[in-house]
Amino acid sequence: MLPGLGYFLLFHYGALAGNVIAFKDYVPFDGIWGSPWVGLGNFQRMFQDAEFWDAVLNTLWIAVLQIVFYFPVPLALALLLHTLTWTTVRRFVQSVAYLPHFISWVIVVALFQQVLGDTGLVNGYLGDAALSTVDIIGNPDAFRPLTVAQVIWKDAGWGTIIFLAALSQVDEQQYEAAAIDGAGPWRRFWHVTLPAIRPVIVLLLIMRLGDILSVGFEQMLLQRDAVGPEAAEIIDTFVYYQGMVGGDYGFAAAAGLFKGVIGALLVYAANKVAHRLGEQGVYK
Amino acid sequence: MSSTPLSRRALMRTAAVGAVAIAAPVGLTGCSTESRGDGVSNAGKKLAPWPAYKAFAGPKPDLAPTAEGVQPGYTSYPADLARSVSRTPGDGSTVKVMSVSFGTPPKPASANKFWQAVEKALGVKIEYTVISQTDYQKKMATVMAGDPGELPDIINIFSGFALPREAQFVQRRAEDLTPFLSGDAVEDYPNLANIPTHAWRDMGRIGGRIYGIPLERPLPGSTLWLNDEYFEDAGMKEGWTDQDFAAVAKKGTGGKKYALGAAVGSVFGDGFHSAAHGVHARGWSAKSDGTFLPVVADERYKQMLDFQLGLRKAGSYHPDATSISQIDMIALYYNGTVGSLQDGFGGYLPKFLERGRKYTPAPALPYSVGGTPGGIVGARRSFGYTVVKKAKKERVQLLLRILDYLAAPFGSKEWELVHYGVEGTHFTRAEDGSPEPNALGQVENNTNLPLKYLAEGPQALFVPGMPDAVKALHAWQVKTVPHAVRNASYGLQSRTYTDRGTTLETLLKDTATGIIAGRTPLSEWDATVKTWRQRGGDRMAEEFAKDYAANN
Repeated sequence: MLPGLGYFLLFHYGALAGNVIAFKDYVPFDGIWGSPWVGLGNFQRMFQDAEFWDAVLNTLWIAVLQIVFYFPVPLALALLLHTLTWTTVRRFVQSVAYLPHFISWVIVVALFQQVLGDTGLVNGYLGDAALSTVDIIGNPDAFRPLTVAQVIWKDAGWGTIIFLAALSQVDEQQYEAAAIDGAGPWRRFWHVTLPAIRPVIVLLLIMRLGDILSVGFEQMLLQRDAVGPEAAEIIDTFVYYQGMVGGDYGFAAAAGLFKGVIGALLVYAANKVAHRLGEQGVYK
Repeated sequence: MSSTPLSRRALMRTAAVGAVAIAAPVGLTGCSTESRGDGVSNAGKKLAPWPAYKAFAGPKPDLAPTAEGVQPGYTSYPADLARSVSRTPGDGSTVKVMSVSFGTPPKPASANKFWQAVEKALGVKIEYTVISQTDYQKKMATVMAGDPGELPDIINIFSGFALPREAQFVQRRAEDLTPFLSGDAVEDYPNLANIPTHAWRDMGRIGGRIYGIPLERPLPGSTLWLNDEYFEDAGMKEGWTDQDFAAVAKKGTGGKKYALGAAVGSVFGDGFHSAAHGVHARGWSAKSDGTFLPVVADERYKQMLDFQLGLRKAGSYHPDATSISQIDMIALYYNGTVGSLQDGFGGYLPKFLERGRKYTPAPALPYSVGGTPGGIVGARRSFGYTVVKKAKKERVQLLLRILDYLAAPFGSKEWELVHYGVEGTHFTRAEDGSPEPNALGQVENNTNLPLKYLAEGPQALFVPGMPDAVKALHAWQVKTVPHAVRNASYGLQSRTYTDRGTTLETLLKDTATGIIAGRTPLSEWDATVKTWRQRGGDRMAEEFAKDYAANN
């Protein structure tokens, strides 16, 4: 217990004090206390900054797309895997589906570029066959669906782990009883499987809401130049460009803090809703 | 959703951040000190005189330099190398150095004969932090924010990026070299005295003082490097117009070949095109009354954007121009996939030496626009500069002696050691006497151990074993150097630029790239310039003008 507590105190709660630079014009070589206070100046500037709102909007768009199109995929995949009774095949499929999670975003983005890019595999074939080529990579309009596709390819397999664990907890006898009562596969799913794993689904959804404003920093950063900030600037890349690249640390910290507050409020609100609906949520 | 689904930490983090934010007192009134940062300006300061220039009496060039900025050219390697340093500069102590690098990391000192030879000649142990060019900005951000006691003794401030608050950092953390270098004081370091004044001037003073040693560079800057035969075949002719250029680019594109290569961050190579249109890309021009005008508000830059948009629409650019790295694009240039790419003029040597290539690299002549002859990019004559960590007088003098050694000019024994290593170990002599790297010299050299970014003598045109290349480059310079388009802000200080320059530049580059890529309408440009002006562009104009007045 104690080492864990120490870890959190030092690296999480302690580090939080650094957020104070959001209220300062922070100059690294003057130090935190040597930098002048600017009050809410950084926030004021941020709320008046059109690019910041573009980044917020992009983040929300991508987050919503991910919740709608990505979130159900691991669940579906887990259910599918769960129905496989031949364990050798099941383990093999599971491993293959996990693997992309361990490939870094740099590689994933390069892979997509090599396959779908203007000079990539698909367009190479299409060009050779004198067919019209597809404009996907570097096309801002195709960017949002592309990012969701990338996330599905990379992380859907990984996301099944918790669902599979939950599914394995479902009592086999319930299925048997349901089957004896004449329930088909669909009814067994609806009346046995789903109620059993609902708490996990709700839990993960709430956690996801808390992280809603984090939609893949590396993924976006790597592709931002190709499609431009109008399509690919998210809050995290905005913070990176203002803070790390631009050296405007106080301003960037303000944007990061904004993100954290929204995330905390969303978790709180979603948890309340879950309680109302009789679910356990993340905490009581 | 790239994070793991069940992240308790993420939850606690977000929740706790919220708690702190709520607890934070609202309405903390600012007590900002406005004076902070103004110290970098040269306005109203007593200006330290530039180091007195004293030319090195070395081998005579075969092709003469001009006062306008054409470089001296050597068609063969000087037979009699001069000595430019009389005694070993070091005292056996350890010196920590840090610089940018465009090569692969060097072998460790213990297994690197080149490194050892340089250490022996300098009389010090060198601990080298080599930063790859792609990591430079991030690494410097942490170095600048870090503990001042941990700074290396010698730091190269590379000009490829605007580092946030660079001038303030240098002023706060680096030794003021004025007492050691200003005026006649530089005499103690003859190779530093051999660095021409234009390099010092473009490095600039900070708060009226001299803080660094410039890396001298030729006047031609970003250059469109052609595959000469490729462009000849596509119909290139001397005295071409913008329309000719577009036609040649279109004709030269087909199959899987593209006439124009460009790398991410280069705005489709807008440097070359801007100069041809008579302006310095995203730079400044000074009017005769001393007011500063931003190029981005110049109609010619907008016209240039429209022209590049046309090139892109015609399909003449390699499709990956907004995502591919410069290193990968150079590989495509070498293998003939692209017929051209924008790169520094100073990068001519590897282009000529590239093995297995079957064509002639050539800097492009600018095209004319509407009857007005085009210019070339006038570079900052200092490719960044080198600063020294604050230290005792004797230590600073030792570090300067080391930099003096590294700044040995072409035609000296020291230059040969620092650039090619040891004869017999790293190179053999070709028939004309020029050093030819052997297998070890290909791995152990000053590309991988980038000493040349710590200090370097003034550059001369020389391509070993290729006198024709030197003649062609010299002839190109004679033609184009008089038409170089300079950025009036070189060497001048602006507080807003040092505070917000990087972010403001990103704004401009993002929009310009978007316009040429065809995803942002050209009409957006004026609005972006307006935003840029409000966020600091106008203030920069005032500050540059003030600093300009102080310097002239």
